[in-house]
Amino acid sequence: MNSRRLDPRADAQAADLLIRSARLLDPRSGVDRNGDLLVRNGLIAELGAAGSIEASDEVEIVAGEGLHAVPAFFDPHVHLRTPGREDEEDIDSGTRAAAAGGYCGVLAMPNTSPVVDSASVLGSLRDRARREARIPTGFLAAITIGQAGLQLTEMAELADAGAVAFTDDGLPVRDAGVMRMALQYQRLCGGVLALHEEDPTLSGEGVMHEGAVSAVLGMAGIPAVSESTMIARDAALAAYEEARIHIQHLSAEQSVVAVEQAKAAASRSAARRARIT
Amino acid sequence: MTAWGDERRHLLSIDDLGREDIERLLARAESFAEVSGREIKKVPTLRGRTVINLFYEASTRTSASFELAAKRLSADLLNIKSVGSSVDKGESLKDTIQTLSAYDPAAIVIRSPHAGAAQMISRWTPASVINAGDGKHEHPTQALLDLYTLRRRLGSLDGLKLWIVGDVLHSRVARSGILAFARMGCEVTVCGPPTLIPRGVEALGCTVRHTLDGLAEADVVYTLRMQLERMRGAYVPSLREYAARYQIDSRRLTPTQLLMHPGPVNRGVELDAGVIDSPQALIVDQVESGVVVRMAVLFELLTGGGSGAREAAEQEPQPA
Repeated sequence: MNSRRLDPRADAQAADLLIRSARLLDPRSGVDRNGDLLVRNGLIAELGAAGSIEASDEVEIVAGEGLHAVPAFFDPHVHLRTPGREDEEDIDSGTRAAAAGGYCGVLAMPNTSPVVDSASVLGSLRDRARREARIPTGFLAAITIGQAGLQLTEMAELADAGAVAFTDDGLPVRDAGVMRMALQYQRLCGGVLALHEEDPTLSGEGVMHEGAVSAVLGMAGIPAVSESTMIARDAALAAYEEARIHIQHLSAEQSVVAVEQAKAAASRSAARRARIT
Repeated sequence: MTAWGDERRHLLSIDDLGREDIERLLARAESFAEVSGREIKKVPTLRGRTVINLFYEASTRTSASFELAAKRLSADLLNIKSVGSSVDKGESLKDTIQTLSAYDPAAIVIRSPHAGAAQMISRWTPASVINAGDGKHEHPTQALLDLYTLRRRLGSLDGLKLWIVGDVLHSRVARSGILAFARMGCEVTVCGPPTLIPRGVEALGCTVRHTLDGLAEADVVYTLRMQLERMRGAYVPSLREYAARYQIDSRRLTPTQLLMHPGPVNRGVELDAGVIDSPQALIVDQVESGVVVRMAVLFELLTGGGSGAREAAEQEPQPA
């Protein structure tokens, strides 16, 4: 999230801040060095060599030795559990935790109760976020109604109502035909499809990676291919429909290979508009 | 350090036992065999101490033999089954354990459908915990009684070739058995259809075969029960085909091989009726061993073993 999006007026009364001799990191601008960082009126005013920036008495000084100063993080995958499970987490507690951890923005998943699968649920959620969220908060909407994997949500209307992207997070879109239709619909409404990749006929009742450890512990295993085969399927569908997908969880080597192969295939083929992240 | 070196002792997994621990338990069981031969099969060793049998799954042999073992050591015994207890009312395992711990038991013997249950409750109770079967994970006292049975028949187990045939996937008996037999120097092979052999099972210390070719090399054939109650979905196309390829019958069992099975047997599935009742079968001996081996486990855990052991066995029988 860009610092210009934050309202500097909110911090106008905050003391100016000098972080002295921290490791300054900003991959986007290629900064990686030890140095001083001066914040004035809530904005970065100056970067300098360690010990080089003079500070007046009003400036609060943070000793940065051994610490990192980085641009605030953005988390595109959080669970605010609202609506339905506010006993676990709510917009206030979740966004406060995010801010405390250095995050300046989050995107919340729609696997709530009820599921965020209609413009009315999304609308009331965004209203609540305007009142309760401590940092910019966006929402994804479900791909299928009730995340049941059977019938598409009103994706275009949800996009108009402010859905940032679509996902059945927590559950796979098991039916390839439904997935294909969602990818087609993306042309109408935009928004990446964020996918929880798991073939439930392979993962079954598994609770951990299938291998020597699951064999020894007697726990039902989840084979790596339950993830990688679904990634391969959806990457092929996305290439065919020239659509954009994002794989939410990569928990196996085979899955990384599947993404790599799909990216390579997409860059070779005519379907160059397909994007896999 | 094994579980036996801790101040508070549990029997959760065969993996916690070194060969010396196993040897000591088997020797102790041997000393209790004499008690079982008496007319009054009782010693006062655990008098005044409480043993709780907590069974969340059906059991005949294990619960009966733990009950007899506790009674022959003069412990007070509480049998709790999930049906008819507050578990039926939705009480959590943790609440149940804390409630039962308030009765100050010396040991809790637990059978659960969930792997790791015994390990977990050992953190919630000051009692010694004995795993009487946790899901598909382990059943250590079964493995110990199998070792005991086989040792009585053969003496040393070093270098013995043992084939475990059948449904390894769903079997806690197999997991404990592989570990235990391998630890005592046996060469263990598991054999069954690929759908019933868990991926990675070699990590327990065995080799894998999918056909009975080569079964003749085995000194002991240990058949497993087809756990029809644990199977969700069809792991074999039909029991008929399974029996045709994997059933142990008098044709496949050579006259010098010994046959074992943890029970209860599905007659006509994993075993043919003819071999069950043959003198090569140790199935009844296994059941019989259950009592003395479980006496030995209770004794070792609750008294700390040591020199009191022989004295206990030598004590005069006490009228109940």
